[in-house]
Amino acid sequence: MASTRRWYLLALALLPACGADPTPPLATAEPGVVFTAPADRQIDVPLGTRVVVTFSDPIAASALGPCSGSPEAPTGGVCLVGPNGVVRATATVTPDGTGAQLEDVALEPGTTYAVHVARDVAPTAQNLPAPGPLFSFTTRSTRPRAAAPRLVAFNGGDPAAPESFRPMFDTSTIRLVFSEPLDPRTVALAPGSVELVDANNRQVPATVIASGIHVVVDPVDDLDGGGRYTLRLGAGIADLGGQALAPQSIEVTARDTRGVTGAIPQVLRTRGAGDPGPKTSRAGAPANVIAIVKPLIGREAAAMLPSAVAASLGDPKVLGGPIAFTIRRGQRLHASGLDVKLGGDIPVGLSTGDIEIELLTDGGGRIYRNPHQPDDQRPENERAPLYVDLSLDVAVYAVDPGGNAVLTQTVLGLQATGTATAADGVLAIETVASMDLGLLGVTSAPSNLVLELITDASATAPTDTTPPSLVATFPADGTAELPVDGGIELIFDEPIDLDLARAGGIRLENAQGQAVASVIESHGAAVVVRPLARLPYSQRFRVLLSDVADVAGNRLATVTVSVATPALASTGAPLTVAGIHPGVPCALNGGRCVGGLTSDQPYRPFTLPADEPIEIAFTQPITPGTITLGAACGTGSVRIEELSGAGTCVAAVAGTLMRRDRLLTFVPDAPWVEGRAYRITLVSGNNRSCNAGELCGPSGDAASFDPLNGMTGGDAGGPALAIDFVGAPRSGGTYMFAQTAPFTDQNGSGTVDGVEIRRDENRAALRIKRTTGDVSNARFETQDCIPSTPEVEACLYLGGAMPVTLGEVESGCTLPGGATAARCVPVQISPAAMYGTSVAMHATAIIGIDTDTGTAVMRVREPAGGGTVTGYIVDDNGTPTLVVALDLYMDAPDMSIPLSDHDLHSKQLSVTLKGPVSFLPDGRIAISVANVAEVPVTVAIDAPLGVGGTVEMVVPAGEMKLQLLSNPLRGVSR
Amino acid sequence: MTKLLLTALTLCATAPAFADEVRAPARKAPPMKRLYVRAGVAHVAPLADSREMELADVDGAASLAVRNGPIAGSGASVSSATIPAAIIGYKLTPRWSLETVLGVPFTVKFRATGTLANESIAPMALGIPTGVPALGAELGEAKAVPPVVTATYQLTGGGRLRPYAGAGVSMLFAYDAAVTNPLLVEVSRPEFTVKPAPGLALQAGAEARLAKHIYARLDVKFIALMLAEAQARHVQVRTPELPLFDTVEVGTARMSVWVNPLIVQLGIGTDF
Repeated sequence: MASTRRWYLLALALLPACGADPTPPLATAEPGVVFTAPADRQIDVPLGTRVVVTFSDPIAASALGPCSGSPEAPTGGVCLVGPNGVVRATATVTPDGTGAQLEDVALEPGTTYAVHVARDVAPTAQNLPAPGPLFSFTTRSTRPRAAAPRLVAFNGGDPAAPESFRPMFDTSTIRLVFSEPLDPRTVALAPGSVELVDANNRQVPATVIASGIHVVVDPVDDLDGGGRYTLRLGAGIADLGGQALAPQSIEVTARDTRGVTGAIPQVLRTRGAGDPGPKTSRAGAPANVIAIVKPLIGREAAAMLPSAVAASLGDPKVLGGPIAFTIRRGQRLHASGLDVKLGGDIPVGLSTGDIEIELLTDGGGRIYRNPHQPDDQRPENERAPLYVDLSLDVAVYAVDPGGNAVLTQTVLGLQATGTATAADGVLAIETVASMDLGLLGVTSAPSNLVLELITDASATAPTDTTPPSLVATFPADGTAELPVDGGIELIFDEPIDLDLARAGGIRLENAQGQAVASVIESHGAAVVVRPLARLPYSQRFRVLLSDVADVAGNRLATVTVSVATPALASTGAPLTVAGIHPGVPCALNGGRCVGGLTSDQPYRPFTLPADEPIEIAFTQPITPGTITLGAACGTGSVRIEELSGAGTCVAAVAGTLMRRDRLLTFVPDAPWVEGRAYRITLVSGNNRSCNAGELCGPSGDAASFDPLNGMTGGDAGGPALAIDFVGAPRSGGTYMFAQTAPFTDQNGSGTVDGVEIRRDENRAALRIKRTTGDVSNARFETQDCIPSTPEVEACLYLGGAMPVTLGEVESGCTLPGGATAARCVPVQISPAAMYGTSVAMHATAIIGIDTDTGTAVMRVREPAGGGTVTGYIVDDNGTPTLVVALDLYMDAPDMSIPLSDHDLHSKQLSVTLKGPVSFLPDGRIAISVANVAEVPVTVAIDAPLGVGGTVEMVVPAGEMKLQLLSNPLRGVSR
Repeated sequence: MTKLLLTALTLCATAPAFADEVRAPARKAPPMKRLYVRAGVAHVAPLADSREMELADVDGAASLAVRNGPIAGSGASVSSATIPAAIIGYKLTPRWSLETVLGVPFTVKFRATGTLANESIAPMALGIPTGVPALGAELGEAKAVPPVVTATYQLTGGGRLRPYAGAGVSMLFAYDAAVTNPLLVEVSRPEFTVKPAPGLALQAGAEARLAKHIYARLDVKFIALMLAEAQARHVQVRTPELPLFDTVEVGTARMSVWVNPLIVQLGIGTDF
C-alpha cells in the first residue's frame, strides 16, 4: 500500500512537467483597479471633475451607497475624504458596470481629497490598498489671496522637485500653476518676469501665455535632449492685488525623447462609430462628448466631430519604457455647437455653431505602464491597459461670430488622463479631462470631456489655408467706450500667432502715433491688447494690426481699429458710490439712507453668499493713492472687517482688494462664513478735504456717501458708508455685477457736461402732463429728449450699477402684473440706486420759477420682508425677456426752488420694466428694459403765503430705458 | 499514451492480414508462407511544399504590428529522417499482399522558409521598430509516426528478383510537438499541435532472394496529398525596442505543409 502511494505521488509530481508549459508566460495582471480619474496626486483639478474608478471586472453595485463614517474608515463603497471628513455623496456604477463614479460633488477649492474604495466594491481586486485611500488629488483654487503669489506646481509637481509628477521632455511645454491669479500685465517673456535660459545662460525663445493661475512657457523650438535649462520667475510677476512674486529659479534637464529613431509621425483622429478599437470604455461616460453642467444653462453636451491631428512619438527606448508623444500647436479638434438656453429651457438666441478647440501650445505627454499594476506584470488590455498622460493648452472658440464672441477663451493646464489600448490594429487613446469653461462671461461651467483618439496611418491632418479675420472688437471701432483701465478686445474667427502679434504685428498707438506699452493676452480666438498703465481720459487711440497671421502662417490684411477713452469733464461734484454688493449705495442710519425721510422703509440686514465678492462701483474715478485696504480694525479708507456679536470689529478680513478706475472688488481669502457678521466701511471723513485714510475723487475732495444730503461740491465728506452683512450659504445662482452702459454722466457731476455724449440706452424721459393749483406754465428748459413727439420731454440720463443673480429655472412663475409663465429664470436684483442727470425746468407760481432738479436719486426699495427684488426672465416668443416690477424712492436732493419747497424726497414710484436679454457683438450680456406703462411723477411745490400746486409729469411707456451690461468678457485688470 | 494509440492503430491496420492468416488453414492448400517481415532502415524524405504561414487571433499590442492572415513570402518545411523500420506483410495470394511499415517514431522538424525565416514578422508597430528579429530556420519539432497500409502486387511469378507495385493509405500522427525556435520560446512555450495528416501511398520496389527464405528488399513509397497542419497558440515574443510592452502575445500561427514524403526503405527478412 505504501509502495502504491509512493508511485502515485511520483506520478503527481511528474504530471506538471508533462502537462504544463515549463516556462510559464510573464505574469498576467491580476484583477483590480485599472484606471482612475483624476490621476493619483494630480493637482489643479477643476471643481466640477468627475471622480472615476474603473476595475478590470464588474463591480458590486450593491456595495455603493451614501458615504458616511469616519475619515479613516468611510462607508459607502467609493468615497471622498477631505479635510472636513467624509464628503456626503453617493457613487454610481458606470454604464459598463466595471467602474464607479462620483458626479456633481461639491468639492472645495484648493483642497486635497483622498478616494477610498471598499473591498466589497470589487471583491476580486488584488491591488486595493488595505487599508487607506486608493488615490488622492487636489482641487484647483483660483481665489485671489492676500499673501504674495507663489509657484505651486511645475508640470504638475512640486517646484522643488520639478519632475515629481510629469517628466520634463525636450518637447515639453512648461506648465506652471500659481497660488492665485496673476495680473496678466506682469507676465511676459522678459527679464524680471519669465525667462527660460539654457546652460550657457542664453535666452530660449518661447511663447508665454498667462491666464488666471496658469502660465505656460512653450519653447519655440524643441529643447536639446539632455540639456540643462533654468526657468527664472522674477519679482515683476504680481497678483491681482499688486503683490510681487518672490523671485525663484527652477532647474531642469530636458529628457531626450527622440533618441536614435527621431520623432515618429502619427495621425490621431477621433474614434467614431464602427471604427476599430476596444469594445469597452474605461471612462465611465460617453466617448467624445463634452458634458457641461451649470444651472445657468442646464445640462448641455457637445459631441466631438471627426477630427484628425498630427502627432509624433518619441523613441520608445530612450525613456526606458514610457513613450513620449507630442501634438503640435495650431491643430484643431471640432465639436458640435451649443444652443444656449437659460436653465436649459429658455432660449437666448445664441447658437455657437460648431466649436473649435485649437492647441495654443505643443501638447503632449507620455504613454506608460499602468501604475495600478506591479511592474512585473505585462501590459494587456483588460487588466493592465497602458496609461496616458496628456497636457494641453487650448483655445476654445466657435464658428458663429456671435457665439464666438461669447465663448472664445483660452483654457490652460488642461490635464487629461486615460488609457491606451491596442486593439484591432489601432492604438486607442481614451482620456478623461475636466475643465472650467467660461460661460456667457459671467460664470464658469464645469465641463467634462472624454476624448477618444485612434491612430490612423491613412488619415491626414488638415492644413489651415484660411487667414484669420477680425469679426468684432471691444470697444467697437470708432467709439469712445474704452475703459481707461481696460484692454482692447480683438475677436478673430480663429486664434492668431501670439508671437507674431507681440513682435509688433499688433500695436497700440496714441493719437500721436506713439506706441503705448501693452501686453497682448490670449483669449481663445481673441486677443486683448492691454496697456500696462491706465490710459488718460478723453484720448484717441488706434490699434494697428499690421502683421497678423494664424499659426499656419495665413496672414490678415492690415486693419486699424480706432477707439477712444470717454471724455471726462472736470467737476466739483464729489465721488460717491454708484452701486455696491452687498448693500445700498448710501450711508445708513437706522437702516435708512442718511438724508432720507424718517418714513423711509428701512433696509433689512444684508447677506452675502459665501462665494460672492464685495463689489463697489463709483460715479467717478477713485484717486488711486487714497485707496488703502485696512489691515487691522479701524484702519484704511476701505475696511472689510469681521464683527463680534456686539457689532464691534474683531479683525480685518484677509483678502485681496482689486482696484480699478471706478470699481473696487474685494475677495476674501476664505469664503464668507455662514452666520458670521462682517462690515464694509468706506471712509470719506467729516469734511470736504481729502485727508489720509479717506477715499477721494478727481476733484481733490473727499468722497460723499450721503447723496440724499446733496451731490454738489460742497457736499463732499460726511458719514462713512458702512454696510453690515452676514455670511450666507452659496446661492447656487449666477452672480453678475451689471452696470448701466453706455452711460452719459461720465464725470458723475449730475449734469450733462459739454464733452459728454448723450446715450439713449440709459435714460428716462419726463413729459409734463399738466399743472395744478397755483403752478402753471411748467416746461422743460432742456433739449427735447424725444423729438418725434409734439411735446418737449426732458431726459434724465441714468447711471448706476445693479447687482443681479440669475437663479435656476423654475416652473409656474407668476410675473409682475399677474401674468404667468410656464417656465422662467428668477433674477434677484439688489436694492441698488440709479442716478439721473439734472433737468432744468421753468414754471410759474405767481412768479416765474427756474430750477434744476440736480442729481436725481432713484433708490430701489426692498420688497416686503426685505431682501432682493425678484424679476423673471421668460421666453417671450423666442426672445428671452426680463420682467421686473420696481418700487422706487425718487429724490432730488439738490433741487431748489426759490422761496419754495418741493416734495421730491423719497417720492414713491412704481415701475414695471420689461425688455430683452441679448448678447452684444463683443459677447457681453445686455439686459435692455423699459417701462411697460406710463409712470406718473407728480411734484408738489409749496410756496409761502399758501401758494402751491403741482407739476404732473409722466414717464411715457417705453421711455424709461435701462441697459445693464455684464463686464467685458476677456477680463479687466486692476 | 500517444505511442500506444499509434501502435494500436498500426496493429488495427494490419488486422485484416492476420484474419486471413487465421482463415488460411481452412483451405487445405499446400501451406504457403504468408507472413513476411523485412527489417532494415527507412529514409523518410518529405517533398515539402507549404502555404504561407497564417496568423490568427491577433489582438492587443500585436495588432499594431501584424494582422490576421498570411505572412507574405513565408513558408515552412519539415525535415527528413532515417529510422529503423520493418515491413510486415501478409500474402493474400501468391501475388497479392497487404503490408504495413513498422518503425520507431521519428522526429520531424518544422523549419521556416522565405520571409518567415529571413525577415521579422513584426518589424514595426505604429512606425516604431519593435526589435523583433527574423525567426531563423528553426520552428518546432514533433515526434511522428506515419503508418502506411498498402496492397502490393508482385509483378512476376517467381525468380530471384521479384518487382512489385502497390498502393494504399497513410496517416501521419504527430505527438510531443513543441516550438523550439529560441525567439518563440524566450517568453513562454506556445502550445504547438499538429493535426493527423492523411495521405495516399504509391509504392514500388523489388525483392531479391538472397538465400532460401532470406530476402532483401528495396521499397519506395510516395505519400501523396499529405497536408500537415500545425499551429502554435499563445505565441509571445519579446519586443526589445519597445520596452513599454516588453513582451507581446502574437496570437496563433498556423502552418500548412504538404509533406508528401518519399520513403525509401532497405530491408532484409524472411517469410513465415
